[in-house]
Amino acid sequence: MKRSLTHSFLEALRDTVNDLNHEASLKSFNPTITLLSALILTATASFSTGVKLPTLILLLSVALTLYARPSTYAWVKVVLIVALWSLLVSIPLAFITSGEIIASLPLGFATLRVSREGVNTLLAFTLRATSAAAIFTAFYQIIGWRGMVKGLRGLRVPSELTAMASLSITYIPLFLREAVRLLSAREARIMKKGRLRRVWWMLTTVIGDLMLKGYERAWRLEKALRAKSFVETSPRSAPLSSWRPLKAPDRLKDLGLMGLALFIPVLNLLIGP
Amino acid sequence: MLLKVEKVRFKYPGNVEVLRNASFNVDRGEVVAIIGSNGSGKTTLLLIAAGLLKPDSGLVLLDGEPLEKQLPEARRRIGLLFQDPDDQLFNPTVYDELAFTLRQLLSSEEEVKAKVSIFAEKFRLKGLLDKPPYRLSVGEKRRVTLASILIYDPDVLLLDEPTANLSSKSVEEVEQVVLEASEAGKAVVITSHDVEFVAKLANRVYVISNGLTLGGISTASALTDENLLALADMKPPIILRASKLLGFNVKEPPLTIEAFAKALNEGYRPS
Repeated sequence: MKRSLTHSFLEALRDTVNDLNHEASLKSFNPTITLLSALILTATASFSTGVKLPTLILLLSVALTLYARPSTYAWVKVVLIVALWSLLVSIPLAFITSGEIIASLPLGFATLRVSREGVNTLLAFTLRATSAAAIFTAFYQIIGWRGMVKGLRGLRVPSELTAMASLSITYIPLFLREAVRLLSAREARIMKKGRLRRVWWMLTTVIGDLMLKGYERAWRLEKALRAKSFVETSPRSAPLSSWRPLKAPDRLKDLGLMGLALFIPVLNLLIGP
Repeated sequence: MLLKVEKVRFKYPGNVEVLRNASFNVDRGEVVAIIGSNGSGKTTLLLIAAGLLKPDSGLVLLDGEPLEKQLPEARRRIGLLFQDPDDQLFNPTVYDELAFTLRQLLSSEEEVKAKVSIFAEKFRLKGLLDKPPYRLSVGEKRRVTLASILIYDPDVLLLDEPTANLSSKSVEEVEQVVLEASEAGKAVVITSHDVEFVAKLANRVYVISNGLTLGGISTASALTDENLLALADMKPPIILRASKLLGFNVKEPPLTIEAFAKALNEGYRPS
């Protein structure tokens, strides 16, 4: 049976989250240092000007993904989705940025003018967004979600935030799975090919159901948490030392990673946009 | 009585009255079943008994003292098993799920690790400790949820439909857990639609209907009373119905296959 675009998208999203939600592929990296490096490089890619630095970071993310190798396909999917999405939302930049006109698109009542500066801004924005997503996903693949949570704890982020991050990895796939089930139930009852608007209207009713189910699940989760909480304060978390003890070569790798993460922003200052 | 729930009333927002006058009690070493149709308020009653919902009126007593006054410390004396394991499993790994309560009770991670290891062995979870719980099968999830409440050794077990969606082998495992718990002197309350499961394990049965609890009588009396069972949208155990159809005339009607086999061995034959 042919699935709707929404259905296929949700399934793909669920699979991607599942693929990314794995154990650390390389336990030899310290989660705190890896997360800090990820944040530095993601921020550098996001706030960089020009194309050299984001391109360099994108290449670095490719190298990291090939090195870690847990699920290259999941990484490619994330990068492609982000690239397409950022390209889509930044299209107006090509028309609204003033500069040298390189093309005109007559639309009857008005003419859209594409400027060279606009196209450059569009491409730079897409490249920045893509490289930021690519480098963060690559690091994510190295230490896994649990490593990310441990890294957050290592960075002394408030425990409420780390608990939320920890819960989200359990509940995002469950939420997506529920959405797919609800969509399937609706699609199963579409007997004939109707007008797109009508079919779309029927499928959007999933949103209301999802909100209700989300509320109910949150209500029960709160009960489950309280049922196992014997003290008023938040329970003690797992010790960070449960991560595999790092040996000298691992520490060298950490040092190299941190050095690289700090060197790239400096490089930006040296070479310019 | 170890746990006593007396005349509780409860309304959900929107004036939805789920419980009007519900009571039950359970003592050490006893297994009590609460049966009722879908939406009859079984789960709500267990949440109230665990101190997770506050009744509009009525009392919950643990060891004769109001439960509300003993919270949150009293929660370590009550283990609540949720009907849907996905609602109960909120930790990133099976290990963390088992260790969640122990980290509140034990001082060192070594002690936590040792106890988790014992329960992982007992519930066949050794190879699953590093896995995220939501990726497990329903049977495995059920074993994790059971282990996660038994690991802190509560006095009262409140099991909400523990056999729902389980294979017959997994049902047997749950039966074994309930038997061991009652032999160890724990008070066990189960809600269920599975009449065979209730027949095998329960000492007493309550029926919940229209927000009222009825019964609290012996399992044999409750499960042979077709009118009482009809209130719970249930029928007597299949072996009891079969023996009636076959014209068995025995003093104690068989509720389980084992009891039926025993009756046959004792020489009872269809009349």
